[in-house]
Amino acid sequence: MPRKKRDVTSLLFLLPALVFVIVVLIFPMLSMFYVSFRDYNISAGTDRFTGLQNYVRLLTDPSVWGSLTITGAFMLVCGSAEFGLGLSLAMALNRIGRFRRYIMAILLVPMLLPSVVVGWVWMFMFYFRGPLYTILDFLGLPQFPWISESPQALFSLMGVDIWQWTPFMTLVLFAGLQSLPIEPSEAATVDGASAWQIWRHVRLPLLRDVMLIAVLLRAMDIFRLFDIVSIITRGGPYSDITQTISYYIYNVGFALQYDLGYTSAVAIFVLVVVFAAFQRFHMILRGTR
Amino acid sequence: MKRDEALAYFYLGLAVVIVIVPLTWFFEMSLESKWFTGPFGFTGGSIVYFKEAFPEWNGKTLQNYYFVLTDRALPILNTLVVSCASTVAALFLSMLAAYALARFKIRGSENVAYWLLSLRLTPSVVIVIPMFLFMRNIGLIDSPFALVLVYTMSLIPFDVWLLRGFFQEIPVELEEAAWIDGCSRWRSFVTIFVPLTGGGLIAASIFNMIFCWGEYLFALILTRTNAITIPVALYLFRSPTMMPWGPIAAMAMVATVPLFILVLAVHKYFVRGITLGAVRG
Repeated sequence: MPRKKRDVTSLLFLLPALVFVIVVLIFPMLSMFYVSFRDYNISAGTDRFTGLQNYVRLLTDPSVWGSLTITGAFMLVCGSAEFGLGLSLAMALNRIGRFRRYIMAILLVPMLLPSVVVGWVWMFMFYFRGPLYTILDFLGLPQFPWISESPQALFSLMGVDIWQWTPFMTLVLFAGLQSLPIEPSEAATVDGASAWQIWRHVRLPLLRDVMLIAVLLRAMDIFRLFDIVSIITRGGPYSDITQTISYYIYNVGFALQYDLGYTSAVAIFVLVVVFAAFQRFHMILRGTR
Repeated sequence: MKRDEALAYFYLGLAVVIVIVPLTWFFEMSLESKWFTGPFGFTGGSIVYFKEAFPEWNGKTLQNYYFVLTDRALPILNTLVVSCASTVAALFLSMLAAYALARFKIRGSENVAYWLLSLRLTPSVVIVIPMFLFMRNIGLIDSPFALVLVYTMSLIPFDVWLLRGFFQEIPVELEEAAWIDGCSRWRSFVTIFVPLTGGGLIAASIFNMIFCWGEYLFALILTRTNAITIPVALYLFRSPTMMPWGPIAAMAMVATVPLFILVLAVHKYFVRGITLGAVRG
């Protein structure tokens, strides 16, 4: 086919999706950028140009920094816990001979559940005189204020995220383990390396790419942490201890006031943070190749 | 059995128990006839609705399911319509785009893939604000059509990404033979290429359905009363004083079970497809 004609045909195939995304995503994004320079509040009925005022306000807003810190804490704690548990479970899966398929099918379940359902399951578990209360009571242990006290609620939510996403880590890392070539480990065994040495110096380096991608995806997903917060704690119980950045944006923009100008500014700021983080991870990922 | 293998079984068994216990305990609630919890925990009395229609059997009853399937039929219907429409629309658009990316040498097509991936990584709470402004301007707040538009848009990056991988594995020779015989690009796409892509399309449509069925944030913000979906209906059960756990658990089942059926059904399809291919050699 002549080159000109090929280009036109390829464009015709690409065009529908491209036009759709431009109309439904890019134009609205640009309008958000425009609104972020305005005092635009639907409930108060204001709409006027205020320059950089929204951006100045967000830089001095303790809630923005507080919720970013909490999101970072989630990233750190959940990321490392999910990675550690996921890797150990993947190693265990790799070690066993029977029932592997059934165990994997069960581990798949929390990933398939809509996260609103995960939120309700754990709301139920944490609820006063709910299952966890019953279990602690049965064992004669002191009760724990799962979601009714401030720092504890944060740990509970982290636990929910770990419960929901450790299986993802496990399955990704297990797939990585399965795809490892067997020869390097065998060679190392012949050379008299211990099991630990084989893990440390042969298999982990081979797994590094898979591990980094899995951690990258999880870390980026923590920025979206909203559903379980909105069902279980709604940012509370006190002093916004579980208010992630996603929940903060929702709160300012839609739940408390419709202050969309300011919310747009915060959203653009978050977008910059997310892409800076993504670039950073991407560089680390490329650096190891 | 060696000692470390036994240890591995024990560890995995523990994980399986931790996954299963909360789920079974919660879904057991959907069969309970005592559904309310007051401020003092699980002490509420029995519910009176549907008591006659569904007699208890060892304290278990289906009245909660009857309640959500009748009283909350609208969100279930909305979810069904929105999920199917978005899945079909997104598949159609992505299929064309993925074909172009897989078959034509387009300048910067690697960058397109990168951009699609970063779109996928953008937090949805950032996208929901422009979506709200957009839908408000064109008067689509609380309309299922708004959700279809937004879901289709959200699915396209992922579908293109996934389908491109599948499409690249399909040998180009089959189509080339058709072109030599005078077949147009479009015709060879429809009659030769698409029938070969069954596995990829089914995998993509399953992921699409899973996404749409459980999507929460967009639905929460873009709908009010008429277009609410199952996740929003679940959210609306939340109350500071009384938690109707029975209907909540039943609705959560409605939000979950179709996905599992779908995955199981397709699992069979996959296995059959693979064995068929093997037999034909």
